[in-house]
Amino acid sequence: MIEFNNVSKVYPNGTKALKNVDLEIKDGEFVFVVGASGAGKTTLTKLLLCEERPSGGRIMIDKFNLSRMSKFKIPKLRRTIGIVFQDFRLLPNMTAAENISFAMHVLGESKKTIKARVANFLRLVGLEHKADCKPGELSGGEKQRVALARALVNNPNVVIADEPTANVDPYMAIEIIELLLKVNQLGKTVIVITHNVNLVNYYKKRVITMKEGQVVSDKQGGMFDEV
Amino acid sequence: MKFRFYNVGYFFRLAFQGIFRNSIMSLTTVFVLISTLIVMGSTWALTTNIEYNLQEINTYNKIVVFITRETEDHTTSLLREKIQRLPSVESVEWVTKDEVLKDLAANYGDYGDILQMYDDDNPCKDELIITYTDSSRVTDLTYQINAMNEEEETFGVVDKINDRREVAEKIDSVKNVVVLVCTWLMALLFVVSVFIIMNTIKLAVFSRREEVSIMRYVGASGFFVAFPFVLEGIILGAFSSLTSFGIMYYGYQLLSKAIGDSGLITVLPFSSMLREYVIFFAGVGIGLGVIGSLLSLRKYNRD
Repeated sequence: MIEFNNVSKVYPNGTKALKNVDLEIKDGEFVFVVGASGAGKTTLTKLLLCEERPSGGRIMIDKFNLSRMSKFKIPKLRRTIGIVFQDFRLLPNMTAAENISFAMHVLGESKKTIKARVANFLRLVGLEHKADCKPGELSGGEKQRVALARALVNNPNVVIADEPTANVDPYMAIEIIELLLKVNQLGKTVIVITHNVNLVNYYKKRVITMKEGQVVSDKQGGMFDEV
Repeated sequence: MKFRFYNVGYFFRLAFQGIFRNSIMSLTTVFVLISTLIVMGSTWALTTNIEYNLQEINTYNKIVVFITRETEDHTTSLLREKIQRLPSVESVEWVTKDEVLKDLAANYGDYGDILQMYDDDNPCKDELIITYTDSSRVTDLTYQINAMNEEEETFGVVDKINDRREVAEKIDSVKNVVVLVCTWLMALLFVVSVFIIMNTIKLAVFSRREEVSIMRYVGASGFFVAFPFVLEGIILGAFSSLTSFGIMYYGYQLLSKAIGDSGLITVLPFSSMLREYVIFFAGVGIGLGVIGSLLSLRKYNRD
């Protein structure tokens, strides 16, 4: 369960990125977060990852109170969250398999476990035949699928996808959202931050719309352009 | 996070990658560290040797009284008896000028024959070598001998008194200057070393920023992220320690041979300082590496 209670965020330069946001995302939900640039979507992601701390209010992710969490506990929190970025953030000198295994390796998993799980996740995203390809040899969609596999490989409870379809073609965009839905069906909470009107309208999932740092609409089966 | 033994290899691989990726900065770091360690090591070697020689001078419980050339033997004998009666005096040995010349010739070894030309006109003086029991009374002793030189029966017998205190004082003041200069130099080099290591590690962090950011997003512990960089500092420090130790060892051997052959002072053998030197070089080198890298990771730890 993710809870935002009256959360505000003011940056040191005075920018009010979030204003009294109240939000609740239950375990296993699939949520689209939409809004124009500067609406506060990125700040929301940063707060969830504890990259930024709220200026006011309280954020809870399961047992973690992000508003008061010590910096030593941040890695523990992040192990429960998988993140997918718009720009993939794959390491160019590593193969697809190595990029995925890297995420497990830094958490101290055994080599045997890493090998088995990486193979499974490559199969899940349909890239087992590209295991030895480096990011430069992959298409945008393939890169994003590797990034998704990396986000999932440590078995997080929550997956946050920040504009996952921004750099891929429309066919691949659908494939990525389908993959995220598959992940959601496995019981994970999925939060997709996007600008893609067609996808949001097509899937008719819960849509949280943000504007000028506030949640202006939060509807199940909602549409992008309702506000 | 579980610790895996294979992570050790991973840490080392990353550390060496960092060193070779920023080879110019790594070389600069090693060069500055070696300079710092050599200055520190040399200062230490110098002060240790000076102190040892000063100690030797202080434990040399003898005063040499040079007798004026025209003095009759019975007057010298009288002075000797007077000195012998002083409370802190253990013995007084009378060395005639011929014996002094002979000793001198013996000290010159093969070249001693040259001094034969002085056999007829010996420039040396008779000496009374006084062995005393209490080194704290040397000043009194010197004063009393000088007083005897004013007495009627032994008037003007004493040409010069050599109690080595003057030499010891001079050496001590030289040592103080050396220590002062070297301390400032060491402090300066210490700061420069830390600064250079900090920048080297910062470059390493910068060149691996993507990797580091992903590590952080997937929840790697601070230790896992930071340790390869600290290890890089340790490797640079250890390599510098080893190199500077080698340089110091061979330099010391060469210098001690040259100085030792002159017979001017006693040079301590390197082996007598070996254990302390190994601890010192390893400690300072690795310590500097760790301090520099930890300081450069401060910003990361704050984020």
